[in-house]
Amino acid sequence: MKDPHRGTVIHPRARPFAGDAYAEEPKRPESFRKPVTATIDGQSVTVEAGTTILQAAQILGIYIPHYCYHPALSIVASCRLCLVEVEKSPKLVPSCSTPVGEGQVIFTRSDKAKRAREQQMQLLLINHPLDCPVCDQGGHCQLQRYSMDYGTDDSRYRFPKRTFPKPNLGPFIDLERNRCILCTRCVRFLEEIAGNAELAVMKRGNDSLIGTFLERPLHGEFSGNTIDLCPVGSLTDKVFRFRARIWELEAKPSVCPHCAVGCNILLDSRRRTHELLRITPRTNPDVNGPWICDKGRFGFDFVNSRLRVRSPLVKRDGELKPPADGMDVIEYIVAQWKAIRDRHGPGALAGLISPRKTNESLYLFQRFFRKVIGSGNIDHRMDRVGLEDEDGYLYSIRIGARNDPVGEVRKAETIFILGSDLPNELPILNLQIRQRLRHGATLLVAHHQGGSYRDLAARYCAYHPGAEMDFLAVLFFLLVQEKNVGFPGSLIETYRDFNSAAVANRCGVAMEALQNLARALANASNATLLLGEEAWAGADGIQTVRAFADMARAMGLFNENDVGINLLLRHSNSRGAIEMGVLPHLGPGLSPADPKGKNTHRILQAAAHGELKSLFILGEDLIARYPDRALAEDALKRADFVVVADTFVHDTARAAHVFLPIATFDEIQGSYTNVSGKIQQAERVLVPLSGTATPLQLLQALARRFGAEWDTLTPPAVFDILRRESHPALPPNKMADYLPFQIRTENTEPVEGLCLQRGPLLFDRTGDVIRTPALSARSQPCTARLSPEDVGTLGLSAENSIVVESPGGRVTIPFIMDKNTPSGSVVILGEYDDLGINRLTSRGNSRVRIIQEGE
Amino acid sequence: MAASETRVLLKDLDLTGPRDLDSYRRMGGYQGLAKCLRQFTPDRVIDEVKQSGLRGRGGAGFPTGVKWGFVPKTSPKPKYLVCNADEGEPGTCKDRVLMQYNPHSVIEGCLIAAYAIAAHHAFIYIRGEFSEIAEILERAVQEAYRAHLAGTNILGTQYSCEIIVYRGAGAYICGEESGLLTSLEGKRGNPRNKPPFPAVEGLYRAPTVVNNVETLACLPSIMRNGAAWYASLGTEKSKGTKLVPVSGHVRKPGVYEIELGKITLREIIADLARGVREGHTIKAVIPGGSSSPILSADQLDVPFDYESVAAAGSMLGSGAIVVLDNTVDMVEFALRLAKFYAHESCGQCTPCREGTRWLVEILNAIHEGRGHPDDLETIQKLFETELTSICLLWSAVVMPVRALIEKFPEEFRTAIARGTPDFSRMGQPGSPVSVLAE
Repeated sequence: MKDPHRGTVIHPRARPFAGDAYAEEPKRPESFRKPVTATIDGQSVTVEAGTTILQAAQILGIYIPHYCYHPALSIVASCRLCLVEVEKSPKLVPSCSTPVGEGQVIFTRSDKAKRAREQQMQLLLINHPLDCPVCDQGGHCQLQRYSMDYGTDDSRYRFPKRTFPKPNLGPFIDLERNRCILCTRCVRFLEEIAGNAELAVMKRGNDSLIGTFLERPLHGEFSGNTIDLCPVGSLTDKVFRFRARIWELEAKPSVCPHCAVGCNILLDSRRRTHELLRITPRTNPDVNGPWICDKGRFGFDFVNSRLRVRSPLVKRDGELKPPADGMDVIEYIVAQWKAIRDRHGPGALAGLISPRKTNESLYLFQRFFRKVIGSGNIDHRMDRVGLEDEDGYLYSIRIGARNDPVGEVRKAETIFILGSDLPNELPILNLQIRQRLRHGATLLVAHHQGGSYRDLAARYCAYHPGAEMDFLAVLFFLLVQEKNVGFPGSLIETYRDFNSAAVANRCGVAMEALQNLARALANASNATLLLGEEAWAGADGIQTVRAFADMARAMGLFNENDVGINLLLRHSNSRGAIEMGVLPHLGPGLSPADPKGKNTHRILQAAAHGELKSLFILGEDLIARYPDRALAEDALKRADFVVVADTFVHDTARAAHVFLPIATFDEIQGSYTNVSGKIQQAERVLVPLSGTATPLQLLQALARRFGAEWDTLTPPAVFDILRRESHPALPPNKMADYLPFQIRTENTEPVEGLCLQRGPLLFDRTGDVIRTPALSARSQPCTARLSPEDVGTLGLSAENSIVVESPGGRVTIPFIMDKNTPSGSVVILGEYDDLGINRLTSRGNSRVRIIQEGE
Repeated sequence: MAASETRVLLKDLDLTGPRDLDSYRRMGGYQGLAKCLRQFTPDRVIDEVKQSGLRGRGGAGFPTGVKWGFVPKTSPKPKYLVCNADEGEPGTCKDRVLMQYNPHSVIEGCLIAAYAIAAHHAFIYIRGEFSEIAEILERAVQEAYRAHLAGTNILGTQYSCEIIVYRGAGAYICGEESGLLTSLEGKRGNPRNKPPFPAVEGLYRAPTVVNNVETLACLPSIMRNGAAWYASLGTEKSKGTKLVPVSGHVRKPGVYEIELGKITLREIIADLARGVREGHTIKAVIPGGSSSPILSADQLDVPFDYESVAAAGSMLGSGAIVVLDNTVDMVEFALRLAKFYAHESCGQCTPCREGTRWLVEILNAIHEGRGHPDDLETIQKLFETELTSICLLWSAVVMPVRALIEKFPEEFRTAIARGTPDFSRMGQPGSPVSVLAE
């Protein structure tokens, strides 16, 4: 573990330009064998054959200006700014695309080279509007910078400038074509890295312009990176536009709060107006490279929302109101909790905390409940219903799973993903997979619905919802045959009376497809196995993990240290929450919990039955998130005393007796542990909004009022403690042999109605998204996907919405006919806090009825 | 005695329609291919072509056999032959004649070249506007397939080669060989940086030879009659015959075939094309397609071959001669040329994208009487960027326009003087140079 950053401020003007940042992969590796020596500006340099003049010059610290060149993108050498003079060469050569030749004598600053650069600068500027005063790029613009460094101060151009119409590319990006210098970095990024070639050069010659097909808005997940790549002010950040000048900003390193990859970011804020204004990627080759997704980049404006609560609220006459004068809210909460504990014992209190909070908050949260209140009823798992404390992920830790998807994907040649729609769950990991595919890696995917990889994967198997275990059982069976390793003795019992064809039929996958997949896995070299949360968090989760680990073993993906399976997590600090011991049965570092307690589901059940009296929910809209919405509502209604701490007043908050406003991610210093176990520090960018407190401040205030002798703990101090306590003493590979697993024997025949499937969607509409205008504008409308057969059977008309109905409630939404949705299923992706989709899954229900609206 | 044509490629040409396979074979067609496949190794074919002295007829005049020799023999990648039938330069209309009236000569040439470089795919990239000719070619290719002259086991030998006729979509830049390859891959036809040259990294990044239609059409007779026969035609460095399309102000424009170096430019114009119209005089001549520098009327006694035309300060290029008589306004002519190249610039690299339009703006202003005394200096400075572009399109406009200004400076100065504004009014509304003050 690394010590936290302490106060790094990166001045905006000192930060590297996107173009200078970082090389994804060395170019032209095929010729990287022999050394080549050349002289650049009188200095001798030896590089590997194939190194370009520009790269070799960089080694010597000689900067050659360039627009179109970017180390992560293909080379087009079209801006002609990097031209250098090579002795004996009649023409100037583009240094970005020309490999260094043995004995070459290169001049980057000869009169000829300088003159050529001046001419190119003049040509680039003749049609540029020079509207720097109103351009967002002003102050960190390569055109400005090179004009100063390499340009001339006059232009011979005397004709009207060329102008272009302005398109609307959607809520994130503003395209001002008149400023464009056609370096095509944006085009190449979207095509080569993001994998959706939405931008292209249209028309030709002097009419060339960057645009989308029929001027449609951009729909990708990574379009924001084109803003960083654009060396001029052509592609600018629509969210940030006109809100500040670059020199007003203060940038601090942080970690993206949206998904479990934990992309490294820079938060740009303006202290004077207490605003977080912009997020840009912070290059980290081990995590996100130089990229971030659009959700991470544009999903922050909720922190500036006027709807943020700025004082504690207490329920009076059925409504949350600011406390009466002189009321000490903390004192009030502690008095209530003490009374409940005295009357019903500490087990009558429970705490739930969001897995998006910092390690420090999570650690103190469990310590507060266990040590101060004396209750073990804590959990962080609020988005799934599970009766058992143990789940597939925890089990995977026990058997020594590698659980380093980010690191593994980076070097894998074959990637197998089971049970995850990765592009919607962990977008940056998707980006890295796409890059691996470009380098010849093979993608194999099994998923229960029409996932995003259907077209990209070399093999794609779609099994019936919930049939992961059946699918894996057959796959393992076939894999062992393909590998010809001999059937493992410990699994003979598992496979007694096993009929692979029948089980394959039960999970809805053709035997041939399974065989092809098994063959691809058996022949894979350097494979990585990824298991999605849908697969390991289900009822069969632990069995699934066992079978998955067996598969890794059969493929030889294990050693004395670990077994090569990688489980995926969704939330920014899910892994931290586990390692901090925010679990009913495990403490920090996965030590046995003391005292033990109830998990989320049992806490809510107990509260709904009146056995558990008080709930403390930190940072999550439980009612919107918990799949059994009715149970969550009952629990909160029935409980005597509910305390909710969060940023906004949401459904859960409205059910609380006391609401405590807390600081947002930019106002909290702390660490996050990503899906690969990497602990990353986020700095506090702004002080907490007046009237709000950080979770750490809140927990310490409560603890002190309880009489606990907690010193004033700063985040670094807490980090020092948790670093000692919570580092999980990971067992070495505990897989001495193949792990037996259970295959269900009963057939799960559909009862009646349609099976409702849920899944993640990147641009959905959770509470924070609703309060972030740009993200809200980008969010996809909530729809139900139905198979063409079901649409036909139900006689639905696409013109009207449909009503999806279950005993728990009903929602009215439009539907789309989707040939990838299996018949008998209705797929609703994403969280829509304004619609309350989880009403439908109340009481563990998964069956719904569909009628046309108005019937 | 008036100079005359030497017909090899155009021998016995029947202008009533395309020559079909049977009559082509009766005239010795496909004997050259048969000789290659049955008697020669690919290396021997390359040697023959080297000895024949055949040079590329597309414009650059690079020795064809040498170009083939650049294809790496050890490369594990497939090799491709591409026939550049994207004939689009103003004044050049020679390839279409071959494809239209003697398509099998092109097809046989493709097969010989493909065999020589061990390619099993030959693409004929034909400009989209030649739709009728593309159909002729396609029919001829089908004929060849039916007669086992293309496809698998050609003429019963082990050699197989597919021929694909691919139609371009109407961009001059796709006649530039790397732009052509990019277009053939299904992408926007942007030229590529060189090196790597197509022979090493061409179509689909595999070794590729791109040859012009006329070059390929020369191969059957070279193979049939031997390299020595071909080398006996022409001069020491310019062997063989050349198709010469003559257009402009002549009385009999058309495509002529001449023996290189054995006839002067003036003879071609006077004897073959019957000279300029009655009462007119030649003002200048473009000797090798619109991108070659112009020659003035006193430079026409140059023998028509690569070296002599180059020595005269121009280039043989595609061999297309455009004759301008004394009625031509050189400013307007320069403007017309510049407009063509501005319209056809692909737009990817800075000097060409910005430079072509700027040039059009200046020439247009001069032509319309809005010239500025600095304009010629501006053009001269702009032309300093000639060699900084990715491909030669920018040079292709710089070269002729520069030559026009050098050879006819007075016309440009007069036009500018006509348009030089009254500087006392500079910056006022309506002033032609009001933009200067803005």
